[in-house]
Amino acid sequence: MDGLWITLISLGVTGLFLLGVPIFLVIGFWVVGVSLVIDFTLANIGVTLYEGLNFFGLLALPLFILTGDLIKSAGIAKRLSDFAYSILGWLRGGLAMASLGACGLFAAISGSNSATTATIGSIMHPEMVKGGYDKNFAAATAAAGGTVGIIIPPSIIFIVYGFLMNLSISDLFIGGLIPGCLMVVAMQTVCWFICQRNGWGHLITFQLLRSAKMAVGAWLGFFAILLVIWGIYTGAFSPTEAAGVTAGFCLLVGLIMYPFAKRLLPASDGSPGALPDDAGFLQRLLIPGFSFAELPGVIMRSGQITGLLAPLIAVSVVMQQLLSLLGADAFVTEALSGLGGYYAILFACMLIVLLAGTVLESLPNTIILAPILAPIAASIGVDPIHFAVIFLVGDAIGFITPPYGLNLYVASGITGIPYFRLLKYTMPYLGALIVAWLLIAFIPELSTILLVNKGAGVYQLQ
Amino acid sequence: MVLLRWLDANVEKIFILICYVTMAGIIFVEVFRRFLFNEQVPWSTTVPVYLFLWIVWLGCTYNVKIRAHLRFDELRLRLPYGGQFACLCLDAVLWITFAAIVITYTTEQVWLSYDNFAIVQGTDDVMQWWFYLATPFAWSLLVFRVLQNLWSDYADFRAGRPFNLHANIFGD
Repeated sequence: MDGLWITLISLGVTGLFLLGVPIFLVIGFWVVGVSLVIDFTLANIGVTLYEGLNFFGLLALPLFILTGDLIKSAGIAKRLSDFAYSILGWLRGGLAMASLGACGLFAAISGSNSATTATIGSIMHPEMVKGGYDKNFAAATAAAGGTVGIIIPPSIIFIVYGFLMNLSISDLFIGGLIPGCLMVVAMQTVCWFICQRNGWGHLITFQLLRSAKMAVGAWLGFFAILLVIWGIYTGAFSPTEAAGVTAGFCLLVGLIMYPFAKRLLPASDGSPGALPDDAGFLQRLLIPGFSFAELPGVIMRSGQITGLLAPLIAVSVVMQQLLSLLGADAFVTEALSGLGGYYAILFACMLIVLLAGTVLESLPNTIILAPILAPIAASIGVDPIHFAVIFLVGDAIGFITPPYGLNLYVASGITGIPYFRLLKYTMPYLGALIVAWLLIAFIPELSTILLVNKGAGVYQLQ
Repeated sequence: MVLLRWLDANVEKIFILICYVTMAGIIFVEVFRRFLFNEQVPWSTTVPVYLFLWIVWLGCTYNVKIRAHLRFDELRLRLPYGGQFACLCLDAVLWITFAAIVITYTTEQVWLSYDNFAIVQGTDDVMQWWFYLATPFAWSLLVFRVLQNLWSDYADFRAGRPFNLHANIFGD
């Protein structure tokens, strides 16, 4: 009888989801309904809304969000994009490929897919349209490029995964580095083919000096990337501390440089950070920064995004607890173990992640499924860090899969292109990401080689 | 009246800004102190976590205010006008019902912590309930924001104006 009620509740909340009820409430009412059916105290909701978030490592989430917002407001995203274009502009479709590269670079600072799409998309989409690219393809490029936001470290979702599965967040970050780069290269390859076929984009000559100049202009971005990767890789900082130090550093540099930049940099044409070609070395070193007066706005934007994601974490933790009580993990384990060997079970896990990602937001998807699937993967001998990367790449792909693809919403919002039209143009990128995902699943070394070099092979179970 | 209007516009912002800056500031300063002087205050890993609670739940309220919570709105956008208004009313009812549950049970937690004189780990006199209060306070404010939005939707409905249906993911 309970089973029937739980099925009805699940169908009911699916209806709420389709009607556009916020995802937080959709999960929340599933939790309330199931708690009532199985006679489990609702006080658990109250307790978990505190305890589900009571973890120092989770503070990396608001701090990396803040770092991304500070970098964006300081005008560095534009400089990173210009640098990527100076490197890739000699190829057909170079600007679109540079957008994907810029997404990878921004992802190495921010840690959020949607923020990556929004930041790079708002800078590069108008440039691509101006450069003769199809506007739908340009928007799809921004949406797809953003998927690396949560794979290239730092990553919000890796923090949550590590918190849930008791894995080292630093090791997860390192594990995501090569797969994230592979995703970028896979998308750039498809992008090149499409642009080559359609003749999109103007070719510019590659000049090492020009690229070096652009790199100087984006120094703060590179410094932030190196600080995070060095700090985490060497163990000098925990991810939370790395986030705090990077945010603090970007804040100080942004504030200190602002008055100088205002005096010495030419007036911006609407995209902060843009520099004329003849800008001198000192001008390139200067970043636009932000004034004290702008700071509350920047912090509030981070507060808003934190207030969007963290409640989803808390309520998903309650849902996971209930699923565990209902024996969902035992049920799934039994169902999957009958499938056969290593690859059959691994692909079944991947399929579940992909299908769930089409309707669930990445955080609930991770919180609900990771505790169920990770032990199954471990039992067949998949390295936990490798599985985490496989799981989260699948989760990232979910950002551009219908019906619920958050990056498609964001790209649609910033470009004005309808959601479903965007979906069509994203399909080639989806194919590229799935190929990259299969490679990541087939070749564990892509996720673990840097760890092994670091001497952290303790996770090897085989 | 002016004060009330100002509070209405800024109450979440004030709490979020203070807590965010304090949280990030404590972590930043303490990492440097550890590097330079090899010392760190014991509450540097506990107080920021409690401040995070205030940011999260007031951020949640702020997202209700600006209608930014994540949702799938493709179907709702295609509904007839009356259907859209019904969905907005449904949202309000669901928020208020869930808020009632949260406020009831988190208030219990606050009282429990208050009655037991629970202090934040690593401190001598910082009470836990100051931070636990974040959830019932923010959810009470959330109910107020839901009612404000509902009132504005009702006014739009009466006047036949289009509703604000797109999820406003990146702020107002």
